[in-house]
Amino acid sequence: MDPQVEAVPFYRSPVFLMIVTALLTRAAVALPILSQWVGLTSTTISTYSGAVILAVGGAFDWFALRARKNSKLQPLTLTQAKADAKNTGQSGFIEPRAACGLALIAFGLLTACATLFPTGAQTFNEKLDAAIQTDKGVYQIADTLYVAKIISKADTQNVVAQADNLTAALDVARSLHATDPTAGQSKLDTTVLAVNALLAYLNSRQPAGAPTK
Amino acid sequence: MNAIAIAQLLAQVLGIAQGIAQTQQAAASENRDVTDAELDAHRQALSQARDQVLADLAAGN
Repeated sequence: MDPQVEAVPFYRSPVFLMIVTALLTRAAVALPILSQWVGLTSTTISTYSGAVILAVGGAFDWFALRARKNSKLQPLTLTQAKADAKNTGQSGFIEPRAACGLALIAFGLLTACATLFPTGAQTFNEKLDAAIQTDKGVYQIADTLYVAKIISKADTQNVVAQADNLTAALDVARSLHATDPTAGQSKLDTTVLAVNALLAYLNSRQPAGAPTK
Repeated sequence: MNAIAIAQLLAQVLGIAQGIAQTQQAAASENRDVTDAELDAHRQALSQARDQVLADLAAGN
């Protein structure tokens, strides 16, 4: 075994656990869709699209999980005792770039899922609600990236400024819809694209460091 | 990027998807649209998220 390789039990691998979490979350998000199918209350294209996206994302997660499970770089064992038996006694961080890459893939897939899932929204209020919650997520993710020193203060301030503009646009769309539904819907559709673009930008930022495992 | 930051990011992204899905599911189960009260509540949560990032920026975290 490579002297730089140290085995760890599966429960000590954040990447492995995150992939499992992603799989479980997709299953949870898919439940409403499956319920609709069972109840035959909705057969819209958007619903099917959301399900396909979830299925593809789940397949990606499954292959990532298999790849991590079968990785020779840092074998996963069921217990610490088995890990100790495999180890040579030398420790070290294992393939941080690979671990970081897997984390980013999971993050990207989940972001895409979060961005695309609102395709299930039908009414103006549903779409507006999805946009508001996505906009809120932009603030939260920007905050996390800033506190973790992944993006600069100036970059964070810029994202916040853009999110502020989008928040104002959502407020305008809501009030406009009350008097002119068509104009309000148009304003909302345009703003949703911008919110998703801002979220995609945050997702594209490369980390400054690497996961510890 | 440390493990805690990754976990926070994942939780936040999951929060977006789950929040949207829960609201829509609640409305669908009662055969109604998303209400103004729900919109107001989520708009308030958005403001709180904004306040938090501004606070962290001001504190220079």
